[in-house]
Amino acid sequence: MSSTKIFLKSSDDKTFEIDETAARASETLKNIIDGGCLDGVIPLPNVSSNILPKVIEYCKKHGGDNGSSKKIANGGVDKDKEILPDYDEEEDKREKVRVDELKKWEEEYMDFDQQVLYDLMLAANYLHIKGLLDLTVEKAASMIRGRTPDQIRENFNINSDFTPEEEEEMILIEDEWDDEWAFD
Amino acid sequence: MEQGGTTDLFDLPECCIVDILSRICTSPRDACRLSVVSSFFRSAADSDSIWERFLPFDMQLILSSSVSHSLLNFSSKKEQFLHLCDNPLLIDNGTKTFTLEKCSGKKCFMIRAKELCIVWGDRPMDWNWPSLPESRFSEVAELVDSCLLDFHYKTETRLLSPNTTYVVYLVFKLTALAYGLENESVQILVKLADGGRSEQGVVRRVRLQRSVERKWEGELPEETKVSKRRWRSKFPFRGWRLPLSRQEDRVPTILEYIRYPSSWGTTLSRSWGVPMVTGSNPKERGDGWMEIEMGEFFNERGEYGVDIILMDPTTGHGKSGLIIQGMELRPKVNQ
Repeated sequence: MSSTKIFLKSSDDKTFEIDETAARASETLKNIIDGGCLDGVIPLPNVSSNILPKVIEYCKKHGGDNGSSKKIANGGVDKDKEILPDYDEEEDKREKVRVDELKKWEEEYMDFDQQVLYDLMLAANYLHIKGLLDLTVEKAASMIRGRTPDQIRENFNINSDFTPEEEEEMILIEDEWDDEWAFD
Repeated sequence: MEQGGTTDLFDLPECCIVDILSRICTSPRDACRLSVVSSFFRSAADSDSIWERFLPFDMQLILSSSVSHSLLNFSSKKEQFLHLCDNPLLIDNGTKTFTLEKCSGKKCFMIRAKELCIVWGDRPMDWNWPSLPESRFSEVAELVDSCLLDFHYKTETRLLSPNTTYVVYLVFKLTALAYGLENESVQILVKLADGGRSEQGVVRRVRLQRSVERKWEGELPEETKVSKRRWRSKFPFRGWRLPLSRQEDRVPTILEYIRYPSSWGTTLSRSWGVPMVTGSNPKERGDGWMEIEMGEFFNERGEYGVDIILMDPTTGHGKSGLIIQGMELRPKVNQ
């Protein structure tokens, strides 16, 4: 079963190959496979050829291994393991190394510009790849977190689209909250 | 997504935007700051899914004990939140009010003066219970003329926000003819009744009334210092002790006060064996009332009560003109 190949066709008609086990990291693809509607090539009209390899790379790393990203979220500790009678310390160590390695991989994997980030998030959302969606959403959040409204506008290339009256009101809101903070 | 076109933040599905913003907005302040970026950010940051996380989880329980029922009709969670920050909600048969602290969304309560066990509070010559239009409650406590200023209260912490340091404030005002409150003789103790697990805290010595000749912040003129010392020597109450409660970890009852009048001269610091510090001065609240910090405590899970005691051991002279609205419990900011 692990050798079964699936073909994915991007929005610009390029075909990519992926193992079935890896493809199962995507809920959407998994449903198509399990539904038996597999007809050679699966068309993905929402994913372009410059993003699809990136998605496949993620699936290959995580395919058939749904627990890994969860383990990262838990700080590398799998709680269920502790109640197992044949708990193996060596195994646990190996697991930690694996999780650390995965974290490092994810860091390198996520090194791209904003444009790719949005497209990848859209693809992850469309293909229902929870781990990838989580990574991209967190990266977007980290680009906004702790920044002033002006910095956010600059970062995301946004022009304030408020009318002059609204602008006035916005400044008031901003001041009010800043005052409240300063007062503390 | 158009092939060759560029994707913007605005093109992301709503669920992704809400997910992104909910990771950033850990407080109402964060959400309000984001809402000023652009109209797109505003509609996302104002959404119910962001704001409902700032309302306390036991909101329904609190609303159900509300006296009024005007709180059911709000167009959004944000509107409800902001309303609860600025409009105290009378709860528990009008004995308390509930508000939310704007920056953190934590719970604040004010307890009405009627709930405090004021010694001689039932003697009309000493205390009067008028109703004032500017008070949240139907009655306030007015010190008419008494040589005794002494009350205690035990509050439960079940309804307070967990893992939060709360500060207790006395909310009061003074009449134009107030007197007898200008000395730094009022002693206040706020103590978590956790059987000695936490630190015992300190007794705060405060002055409720600004004296005529100087400002709060100003230095004490030498003259005043001398006369104050001389005045004190006339009232040798300070060394007196309360026999029953001295070693015991509890608040003396009114009955004990009556049975052992010497307790009127004791100091809280001695009877509780805790140090005494000079507390801060009263501040204007912006609602026509003054407030003074009484003390603070850390509420972990709401399992312990809190004893709050206020007394003036200089019982020899008359005091008048203090109007107490109640005591407010608010989360300490910047913790």
